[in-house]
Amino acid sequence: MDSVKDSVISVRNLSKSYGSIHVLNNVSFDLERGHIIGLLGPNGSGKTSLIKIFTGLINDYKGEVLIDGTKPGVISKSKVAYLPEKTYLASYMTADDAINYIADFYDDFDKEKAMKMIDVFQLDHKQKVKTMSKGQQEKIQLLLVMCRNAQIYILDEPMGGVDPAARDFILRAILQNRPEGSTILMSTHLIHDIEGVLDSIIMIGRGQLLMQDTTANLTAQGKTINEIFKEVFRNDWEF
Amino acid sequence: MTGNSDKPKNKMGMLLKNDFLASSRVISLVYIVEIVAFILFLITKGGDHGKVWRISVLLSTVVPFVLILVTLFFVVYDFNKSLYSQQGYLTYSLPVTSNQLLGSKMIVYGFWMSVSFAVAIFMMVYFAAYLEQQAGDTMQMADLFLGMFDLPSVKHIKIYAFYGLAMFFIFAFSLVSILYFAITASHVRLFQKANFVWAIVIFGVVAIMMLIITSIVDSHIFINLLLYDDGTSKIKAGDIMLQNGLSLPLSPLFYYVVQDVILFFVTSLIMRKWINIK
Repeated sequence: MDSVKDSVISVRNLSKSYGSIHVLNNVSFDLERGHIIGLLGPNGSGKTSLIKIFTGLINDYKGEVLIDGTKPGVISKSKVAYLPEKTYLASYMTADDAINYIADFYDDFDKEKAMKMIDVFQLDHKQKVKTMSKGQQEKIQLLLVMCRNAQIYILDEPMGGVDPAARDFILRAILQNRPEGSTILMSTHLIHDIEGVLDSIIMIGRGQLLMQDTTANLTAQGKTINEIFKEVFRNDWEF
Repeated sequence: MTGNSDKPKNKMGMLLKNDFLASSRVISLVYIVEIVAFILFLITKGGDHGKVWRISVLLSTVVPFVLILVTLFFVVYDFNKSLYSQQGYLTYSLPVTSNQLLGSKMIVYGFWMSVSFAVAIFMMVYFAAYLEQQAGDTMQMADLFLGMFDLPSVKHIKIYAFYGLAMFFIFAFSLVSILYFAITASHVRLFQKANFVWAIVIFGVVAIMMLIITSIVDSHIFINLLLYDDGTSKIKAGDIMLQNGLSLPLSPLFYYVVQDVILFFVTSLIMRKWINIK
């Protein structure tokens, strides 16, 4: 695969296994700066493992990963705004506590904007995480990520497990709050909801990189990304 | 940059602040109970020793030991929760090194552990002296201290108290560092399925190994601080009992500090290289 000229994430010969299970097997690719990129693949295809490697949560892998020119570590973590699929806030924290916590560690966090967004998102400043509904917890986590003026946003299934109205809200919040020129890598299997906003896609499965291209090229022949996805992974569900 | 401040923040300072706030949520409540009970005791001790006095004595003497247990529980609970539960997704994605993450928790919980031990010992000595006085004995706290620790004279109390405090700090930090090592090691893939059991096993093995290593090295190089009654002092090797002063063993403390430092860096290395947050 040709190297992208202005690559924000560069992966070379990346392999990751859990015991005898190889989730990523000698994968190489580059992600272009400034794009909204869909990381697509069925459940268990290695999307979350790949994201955890990018965000420094997994370190026992083979190969080379560079995030804006540096290996995953303190420098890359200060440039990446990461939204995991899990609820990661301490249960005793209030919305304000969570904002103050993030503001303490990220110099690019806009605290004033976050305080305003609490009201826009119809959250209570003093409500504790443990008493919030799942939707409210997802809102506060999304808010914490999108109030950073980061270069790279890595969002793991940001619309997983929420109703269609909430999906629309989340997508709008991401697009409206994204700083100009930033890169968004978004893993999902709800392709239909996001394919209109993606600049490019990357499909992984069976431990391999199966497809990487711009959405303009892929849809030039009249097929949707959803249809292409089904074609690529059809064999995985045949019996 | 945001509108808040363009000056980069001291990340270690921020970790310390947040760890201290998180830990003091519960631990400080127990301290408040202890302080209130002790104040009540001081107010009522000159009176008729009624119900309030009896409750205050009971609380003042029991709560310090509850404090040790609560602190110990929190050392384990907070470390496990903030690093190896879903909260780990946040903690490990912070722009800080594993040394800073671990160092902050070691300092904060080592501090709480040391203070809890010190409060328990102080209360024990204080109430022992108080009960002696109540029994008609004219013994003062200083006399009790001399008797308990076999000290030759009152002037040695201050230095022995300082030595004891250092000992508590080192013991508290050793305990915390072994616990953190055991919890971290139990979360590597090999032990992850039964990590609770493995954490206990690893804790036991490391604690015993540290004792054995200390006693083996100590049997070869044993260093004392000798404090003579005439005010002079000397550092000397060998097992020495002084008739005209006090002998304080220095080498075991030093060996524990060295082992704690090694354990710290090994734990940090495991966190950096082999931990996979589920």
